[in-house]
Amino acid sequence: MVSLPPDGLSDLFAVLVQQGWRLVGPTVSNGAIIYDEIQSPDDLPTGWTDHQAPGQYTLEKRDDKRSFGYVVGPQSWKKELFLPHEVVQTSSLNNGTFHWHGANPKPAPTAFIGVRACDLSAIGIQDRVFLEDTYVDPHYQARRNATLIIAVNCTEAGALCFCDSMGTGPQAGPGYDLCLTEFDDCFLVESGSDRGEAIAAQLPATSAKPAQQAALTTAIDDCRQQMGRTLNTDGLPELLFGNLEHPQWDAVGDACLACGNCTLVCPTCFCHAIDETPDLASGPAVRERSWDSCFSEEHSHIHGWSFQPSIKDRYRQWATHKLSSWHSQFGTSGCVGCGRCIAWCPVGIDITEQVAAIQNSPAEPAPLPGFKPITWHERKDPLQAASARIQHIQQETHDVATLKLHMPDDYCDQPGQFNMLALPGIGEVPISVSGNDGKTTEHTVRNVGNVTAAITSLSVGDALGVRGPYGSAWPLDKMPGRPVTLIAGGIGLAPLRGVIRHLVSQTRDPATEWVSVIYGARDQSALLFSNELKQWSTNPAVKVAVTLDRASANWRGNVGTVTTLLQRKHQPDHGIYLMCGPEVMMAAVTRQLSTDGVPPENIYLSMERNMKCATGHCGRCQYGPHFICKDGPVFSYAQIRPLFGKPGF
Amino acid sequence: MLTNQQLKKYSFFKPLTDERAEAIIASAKTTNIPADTEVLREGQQADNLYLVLEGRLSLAMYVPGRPPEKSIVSTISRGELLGWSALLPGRMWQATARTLKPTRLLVINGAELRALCDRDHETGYSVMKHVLAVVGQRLTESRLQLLDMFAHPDD
Repeated sequence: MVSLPPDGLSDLFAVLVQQGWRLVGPTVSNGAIIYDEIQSPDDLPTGWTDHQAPGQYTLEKRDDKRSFGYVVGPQSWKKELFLPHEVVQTSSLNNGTFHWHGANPKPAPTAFIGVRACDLSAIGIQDRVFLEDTYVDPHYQARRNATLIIAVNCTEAGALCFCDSMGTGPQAGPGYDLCLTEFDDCFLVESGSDRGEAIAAQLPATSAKPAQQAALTTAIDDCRQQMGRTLNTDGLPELLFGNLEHPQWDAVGDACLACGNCTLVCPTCFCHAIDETPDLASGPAVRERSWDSCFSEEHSHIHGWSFQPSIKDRYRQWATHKLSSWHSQFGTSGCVGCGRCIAWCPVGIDITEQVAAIQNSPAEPAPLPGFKPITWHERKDPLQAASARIQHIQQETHDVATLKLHMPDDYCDQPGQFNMLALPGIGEVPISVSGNDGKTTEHTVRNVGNVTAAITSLSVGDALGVRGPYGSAWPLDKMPGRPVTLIAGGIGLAPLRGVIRHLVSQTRDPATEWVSVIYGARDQSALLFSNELKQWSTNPAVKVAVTLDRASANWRGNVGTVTTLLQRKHQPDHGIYLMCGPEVMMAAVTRQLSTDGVPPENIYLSMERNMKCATGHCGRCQYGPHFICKDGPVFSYAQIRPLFGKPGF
Repeated sequence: MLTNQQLKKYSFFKPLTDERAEAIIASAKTTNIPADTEVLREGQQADNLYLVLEGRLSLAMYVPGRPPEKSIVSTISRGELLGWSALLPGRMWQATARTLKPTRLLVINGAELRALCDRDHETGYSVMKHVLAVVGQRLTESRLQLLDMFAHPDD
């Protein structure tokens, strides 16, 4: 540790400029301290401090000349690493081939000056999301690799600070290159990396005296005592997961305006939208990623309805994600205790008060799925699509078509997984794989929106963009030696077709390994794969039963729902049950199987939610602690039972 | 006539003792009905309870102007009960039942079964429990159909 005179900041800036760093640091703008490009210590908010309260933030003059005498402003470093708007790719269709151009980010090397302990922790949390999960985001990665971090310890806490409760501050943890602590008569400087060491060596600094080191410890301890807020994190993830029906969510839902400010100022929130913009001059279409909020209606919206229709649902999603399910997903809390969400909430909702209200009258905690560290990282751009040509189109019904695609040579999938299908300028949608013969892959698409309308109107020979496969598969390894029952509703037969074909191709003992396919559809005209349904039942171990909601002329089969067909026979508890269809159907079926004594680990469901990236980054498909895109879409009922059928998730 | 062993395959008879099952079928008979035959008609006196031993029947409600095959609300197959209204005195059929394929039915006289249930509450409780499950199942089915869960989002 070395000691730098107050005017030594100029020397630090000079060294950084000389090394070629772009400098971003705190500066006063429009009545707030923001992070912006700065040139010299003159740009710092010297002599200013911020006064914060729920729904309030004002700047006030200090009595001294401290440059870092404030806490945190509305911005975090998120805006520098995970940009508010960013073109992630361009794509075009030329001569019948889909061309994909990933952005090749070459960010200017940037020094972050004045990174608070809480914000340093937040950078670490976003690193976990974008760099240390299954898929690595190359845009974030390029900027993160070009970042130098100069942290500043907090010696004064704000009225809304609770970093001490979250274990993220006030002393900056590892991850910085240099760390400053500001005193009236000096800066104490610590190095956290070789780069930092080299910079410190060029400064007019002297070794810190023991008294100065003691002063640092005292200042940090004093700061801990000043924390304006506290949050009891003891057992909190499980407590919140067990209190999803707590009346406090209704109370806060009544107050919340769903403006999304809290998510924008939060240094860890990573949910985003991806929008496809066509070029009217026939140039490449642009795919842009923008910050989005789980408070927007569109966030959980999927062809026609929203899974989180009320504001209560969205606040609960946000708060339980931050403090509870984030632990399952990333092995850490998603809250660093910076207090920004409290200051910038227009109605002053205080997350620490909300948690305390639940802690005051809690229901029992509920176990959360444990965090499983990712050991495999996909290094290529996760948004990179390949061109696939349509070999054959089968019009299944008036609004459903099966596209047989010739896929890239290295492509392979498992039944139950899905691909993202894209058309430049129109958009991208997740579509389950409905068949794979080793050479071609089938997708059965229902026209329910703009993108699926465009995809279902393509012709043989046309190309489209494909990336995948993504997600979990049906548990084929659990099917030998026991009966398998597959329950499909409507388009839900498509994700099951691959596994049915697999079972039908086997020689199975009809007495012990029978396969029962129970398929419900709206009416006769909506039946998928009609010829194949008949073929399947030629295997002596396979029985196919079809039922319709509505009869029509010449229909001699069942009328009613899959639940009626299912209850005709007692369902063995050692059987494996797979289902895909409307959630209301799957809920009725799981209830019936549970009544029959089938354990939840023998029941598998394929789930659907809004999805933009399929790589666990856009945050939209969250289902409590799970991401539908990478933990699902196939889940065992045992995994999702606490949430399944609950409104608002 | 059906043996006790055969009867016990059907969930209606399963919980009953042999004596009680025999008491129910003492006056019951089986009947074979060809396809496309009306078995009971909406609005008529609900006289018999049927157990489907083989085949399939449709249940339809008359909607003026609508072809009968488009007013089928449900089908009933092997092992299922048809005509639970016969368990309540004075009831009339709520729907018309027609065979969709050759069908074999066990016909149980409603009045006799009601009298038996009144005399022996063990039998009555078992029968009513089964019928409650059947009615509940049909209610669930009707609700799911009512929701039109496979409808296009624009519908």
